Amino acid sequence: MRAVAMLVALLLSGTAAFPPFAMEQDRLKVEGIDGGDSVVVMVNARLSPGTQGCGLDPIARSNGESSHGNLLAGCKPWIAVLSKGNAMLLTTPEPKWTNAPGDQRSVTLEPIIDVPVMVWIVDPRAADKAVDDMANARLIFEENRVGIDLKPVFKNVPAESADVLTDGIVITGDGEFKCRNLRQIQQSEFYVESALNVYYVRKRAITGRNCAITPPKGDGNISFIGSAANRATLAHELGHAFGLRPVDDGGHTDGLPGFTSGNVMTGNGSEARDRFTAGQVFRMNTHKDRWGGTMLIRNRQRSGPGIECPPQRTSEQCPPLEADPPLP
Amino acid sequence: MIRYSKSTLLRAVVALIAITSAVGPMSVLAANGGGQPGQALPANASQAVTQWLESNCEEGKLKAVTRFGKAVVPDLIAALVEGPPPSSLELVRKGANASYDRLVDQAQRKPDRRVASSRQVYVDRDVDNFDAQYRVRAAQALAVIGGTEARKALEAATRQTKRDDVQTTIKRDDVQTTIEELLKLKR
Repeated sequence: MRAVAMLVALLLSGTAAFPPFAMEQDRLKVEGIDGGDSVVVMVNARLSPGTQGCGLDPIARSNGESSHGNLLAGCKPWIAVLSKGNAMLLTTPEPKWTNAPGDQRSVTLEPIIDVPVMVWIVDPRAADKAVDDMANARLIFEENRVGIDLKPVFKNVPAESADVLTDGIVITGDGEFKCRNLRQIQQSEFYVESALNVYYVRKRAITGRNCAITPPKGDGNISFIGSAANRATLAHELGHAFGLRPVDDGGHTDGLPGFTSGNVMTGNGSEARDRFTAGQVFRMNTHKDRWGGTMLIRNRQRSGPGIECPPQRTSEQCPPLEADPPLP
Repeated sequence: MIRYSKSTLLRAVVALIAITSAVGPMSVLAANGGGQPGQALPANASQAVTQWLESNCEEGKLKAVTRFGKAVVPDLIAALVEGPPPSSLELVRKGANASYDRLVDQAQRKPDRRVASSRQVYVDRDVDNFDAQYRVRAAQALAVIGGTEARKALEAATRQTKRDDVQTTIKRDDVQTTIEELLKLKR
């Protein structure tokens, strides 16, 4: 008798020990999941009454249906869904959430985005490495549900044309690395517009460099991979190409709370780098900035206009960079 | 490819002795804090050096090291001569092996994502590149900091790598070339 009374009391108190009944939960149904894999669901909405109530609901993994408590009306609600076999979905719930519990909304995923990548083998000794790096980058992108399938085309650059490309990345007197000759490269036959162009060059001191931030006018479609690159350098530079800006903007995750040395955007370390957070994937698909933003939008592989979410900015529109679902 | 056999370790010691002999008494000064005996290297200097040596994306990390000037020169010379610690190399080797397994698995699922290299080549390449990167980073920082000790160490490193009859821990011709380029930049 006493046990029944305790159970009733707990249910009425609505404590965390007994979550609200399923009917009281707002639910999201995700349709069109390619391959039936689990997806990662990010829901930004009014989570509680008051001016501070807008925010990101705990990120969920879903096999097609997820529960999100009682999301309230107001704020600027959005839903993002990350999937291995589909493009990242970013949408607003239609109709919007209401204050009443039990709202049910449904979204449908679109096919994965194929991104052409021209891989220019300037250093013939890097030919096999380029193939291996690309396989690794494709795996990393898939496993982290970036929503992009990299579609490489490997091309050898004749020796007589190698110099201008190799000289596109230089070491300066103060020991820093700079992209240069971008215009010359863009006008050469070894550059394809609206595609990512990756140059494997013989430069011992260089790991990798994306040229988005190159005054006066950079090009995020150009990346260099040098002879010191490790197996994750390509994925890392493509992260920059997709708007994860480097050090001054916090795009390198070294030492940032919530990140491990296994993150792809870690700028140093000897450990394997194979993880993107959901917060990073969101930006790779949406980021807008003065350096061209994510190349996905600039190359018209994803519709714009994009959202200004520098790595370190968290707002109603921008989930925290470190936002990630719990491990499965 | 770097293997830590007894003979390799012996060669590393020989190379270290050779370079410290070349550098001479000034390295002792630097080891004590850039001419300020008794001052230990600040913890953030050691951290900055490690971050730079293991850097996969260079921006800003070199300046974080060179601002410490001659105080970090002994650490950098050691890195140039000895390469990365065995524990870091082992971490790279283990990670590369695990990565290779995953790539093979992926290629079975998706044949268009093939792997071009054998496991041996894949793993050795990552280890070798990490070692070479480590030494080149050390050379870069030494070249920027400059000074007698740094220059002597760099010159000693290039001299040794040019001698075919002497096995040194710096084996790759492109590492040697880079060090030579760095020396030219400072002339």
